Amino acid sequence: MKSRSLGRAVSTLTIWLYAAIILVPMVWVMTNAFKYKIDIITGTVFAPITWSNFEALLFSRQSNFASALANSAIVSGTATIVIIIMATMAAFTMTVMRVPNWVRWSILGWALLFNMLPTLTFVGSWYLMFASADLTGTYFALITTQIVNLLPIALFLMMSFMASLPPELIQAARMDGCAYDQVFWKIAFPLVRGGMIATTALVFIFSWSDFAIALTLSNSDTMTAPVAISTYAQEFEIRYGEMAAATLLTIVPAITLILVGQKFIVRGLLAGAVK
Amino acid sequence: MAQVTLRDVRKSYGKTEVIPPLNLEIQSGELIALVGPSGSGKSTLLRVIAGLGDINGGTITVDGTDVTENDPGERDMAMVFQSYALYPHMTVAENMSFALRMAKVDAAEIARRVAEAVRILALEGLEDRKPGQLSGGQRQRVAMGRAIVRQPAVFLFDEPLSNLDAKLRAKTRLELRQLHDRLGATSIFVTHDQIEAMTMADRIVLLDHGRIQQIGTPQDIYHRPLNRFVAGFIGSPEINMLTQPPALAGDAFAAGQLALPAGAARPKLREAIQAGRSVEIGVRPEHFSVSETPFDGAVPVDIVAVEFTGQDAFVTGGSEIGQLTIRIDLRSDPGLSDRLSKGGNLHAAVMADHWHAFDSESGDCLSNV
Amino acid sequence: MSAASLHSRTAGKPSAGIPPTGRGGAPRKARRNRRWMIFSLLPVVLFFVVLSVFPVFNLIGTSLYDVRWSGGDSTYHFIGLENYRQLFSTEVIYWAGLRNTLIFAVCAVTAQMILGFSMALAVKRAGAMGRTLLTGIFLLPIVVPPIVIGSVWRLVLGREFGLANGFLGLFGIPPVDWLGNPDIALASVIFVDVWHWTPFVFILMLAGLEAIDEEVLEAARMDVRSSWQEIRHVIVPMMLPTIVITLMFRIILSFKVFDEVYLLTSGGPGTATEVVNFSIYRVFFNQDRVGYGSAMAVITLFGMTLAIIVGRGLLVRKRKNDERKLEQ
Repeated sequence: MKSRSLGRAVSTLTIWLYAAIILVPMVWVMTNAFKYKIDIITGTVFAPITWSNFEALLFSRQSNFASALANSAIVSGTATIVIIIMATMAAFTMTVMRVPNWVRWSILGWALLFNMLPTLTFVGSWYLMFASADLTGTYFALITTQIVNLLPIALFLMMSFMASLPPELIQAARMDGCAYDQVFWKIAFPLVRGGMIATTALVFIFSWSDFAIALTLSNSDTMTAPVAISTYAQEFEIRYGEMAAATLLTIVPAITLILVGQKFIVRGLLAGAVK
Repeated sequence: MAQVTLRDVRKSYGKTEVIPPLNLEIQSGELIALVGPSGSGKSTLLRVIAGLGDINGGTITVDGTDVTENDPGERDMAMVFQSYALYPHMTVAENMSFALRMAKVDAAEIARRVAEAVRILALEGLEDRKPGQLSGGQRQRVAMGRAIVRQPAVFLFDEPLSNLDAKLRAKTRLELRQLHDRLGATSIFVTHDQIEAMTMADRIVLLDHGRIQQIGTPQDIYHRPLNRFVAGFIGSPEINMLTQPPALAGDAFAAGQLALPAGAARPKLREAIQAGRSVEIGVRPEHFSVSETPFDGAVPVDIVAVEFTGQDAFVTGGSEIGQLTIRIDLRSDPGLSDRLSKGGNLHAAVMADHWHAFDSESGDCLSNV
Repeated sequence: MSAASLHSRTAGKPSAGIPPTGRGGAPRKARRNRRWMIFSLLPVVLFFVVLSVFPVFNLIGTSLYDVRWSGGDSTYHFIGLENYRQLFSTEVIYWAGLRNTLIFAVCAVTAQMILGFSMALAVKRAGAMGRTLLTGIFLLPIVVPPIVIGSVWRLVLGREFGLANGFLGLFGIPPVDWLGNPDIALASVIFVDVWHWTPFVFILMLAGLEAIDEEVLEAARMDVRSSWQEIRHVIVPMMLPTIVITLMFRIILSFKVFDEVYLLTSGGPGTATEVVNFSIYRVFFNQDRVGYGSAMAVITLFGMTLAIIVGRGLLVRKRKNDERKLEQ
């Protein structure tokens, strides 16, 4: 018994130690966002709080971070909505209907493979395609590539949620005279709402996080927040305070989702990893 | 009311044939039970009739109209599912009215039918509840209600009682039969429970590996099984198959010491024995007459176990003709089961004509004619 | 059930059930179902074809050309397999990147698996307080943009004002150039990746552990002599499918690494932290050698596809072997 409670204490300690290792660097950087440059450089822990970094970042004329945040919201928001609609409908059909095998396996096989291949290998071709249509740097280019990039994940997630619907429910609806589109709208759609929320949360976060696509396909007007952050880091003299403030603002959606929908994120991660 | 006809209906999953070509005629207003062990294809057959699974050949007609290509919702059939399959996001009333709403029946008519079903099924006051707030029995009744509001030509039931506890099941069995009699629609139900099939059905279709083994009234199936499989499947405890083959003693049949009294000539069996073919005898546990002392035509049984169930007792024991399970009626002699015990013995003979002979190879019954 | 008659049907007509959808409307509904199938799948197929299948062919095509940019216009000169010849003969950086990517994948994933699995075991066996809070913290690295993680660690590992060197300074240890020293830069990048992805492995492993039937574990506890035996002979074998799949998943995904490296080291110093993705990016976008970059992308794509197919094949074969063993 004694060794058992000792083991318990040790493992609790270990796990919290790891939590601290995760948290400390992030918190340290976040606190820098509220410090004057001099305090950051000297490493003062309890420094006076200032909003000057945020002001410089959001309202100064040299900074375009506010518009970068707006771009991120527009691109991720639009892409997520389109992805969820497409993935939910396709996942329903693939799980519930008798789709010809060659169609099913070409869609699933390609989705699986494409999802594993590095995005960077496709980015070049996208750039060439959009350049030849004179569309580089447009929202259109950013959104459509985001969509194709995250479509496989959303498809797999929604398929796993659709598969958890009892087949007898679908059959009952068929007996009750529903064509498959009616089964979708009246039965499946209301019942997988939880799954859709989980998928939406995850897809939005991944889309918001994207760097490779935005780096290569955006221009200075359509630049998203992650790209903006990277430009701060690349400057000759790094502006630590503003970079920290930008970092803090960029993770606001992630933090919000953890606080509000932790359950959904975990559900989505697990459903996605079963594949 | 409708007559349902299946002609050469086939179904296979890939290379495995689940239902070999099958013919079945269901009369209008009949209550038919599809019975069989698990994997016998009974549920598959029901879904084929419903249109929920494609078939690989054959036709299904309802009252002479070919519905083979029809959508499940366009066959004028309603189904009660094993899990009830109630729509969890709809209330009781919405569940029941769903099919009618999908068919754009006018609201007043929907309200009337739902109210009527609610009254018949004693679901008053529960109309606005969601399925999650109902008991198992109530859910079962809502599932029934969802089917009856449609006033379909054919009712399909997939193990409708299997999710109820034993007491409720017996009660619901009776109610279901009464409901069928009142509505008069053709009903087809699937069950693995032979008691359910025997008590409710007008006719039983017994399936094994997708093949119909026998179609008949419960009496037919029980008293005149067409083959060894049917005899073995129906009846609990199971029919005793004797290890001793039958022989002819002049005009009479016997298996070792055990006489097999017959009121008719049984020419088919006689022929088989004379031709030296291998034949097996089956006797149901309830078809023995017993005594504690030896008597003519009886075999001694060394008792291995006695199971007391109330009105009856089941005695299991070894004999020269194989291991036997015998049902003993205790009404005339309530003390009998106490006097019988392990290590003791008992003498058992077969009641006249209450035995069956089967060809060992084909399994076909030889004693019906 | 009360007595009633639901029998108020129109006499004579055999089935007055639902008037409008009687029997015989089949083809109409079948057509409707087919239309829905196409309507629901077509957008997905279109996106895949236009933006992921076509680009593969586009890359293959481009890789056969020498592409020159001049003032927004590009000129294509067909050079056959010259780009590939160059890639396999004179190229140095790409292959250094491939070597680094492999080292990176194997080291990082191994560490993540060991750490993640042991922490999951600890939490599962002993329970831990504040589970919601813990999960929240563990989710943080997963949901935070990788670029932010790169930025945070760039600041933490920074030579002059970084937290890491500040911490070491407390013990009188001189500052280390975590990202600038070619000998330790790759290790630093691997460390950041382990930090980044261990929580993910942990969450998967914990879910896998909790899916094991509690009664089986109780039965095992009656049979084993030590915790080690329980882990070695009961838990690990039961978790093996989860472990293998997570391992494959992580190894393949670690080939996607780009964002953190871009911010932390940009592949430097020298080729110390060069990864495949970075080589492609640089050739394509910084050096404007589009044809050559396409050749790199094509080789990477086909190499990875081959690896994925072989990996999956091995996995499937192993599973089949296991099943055969079970049957015997």
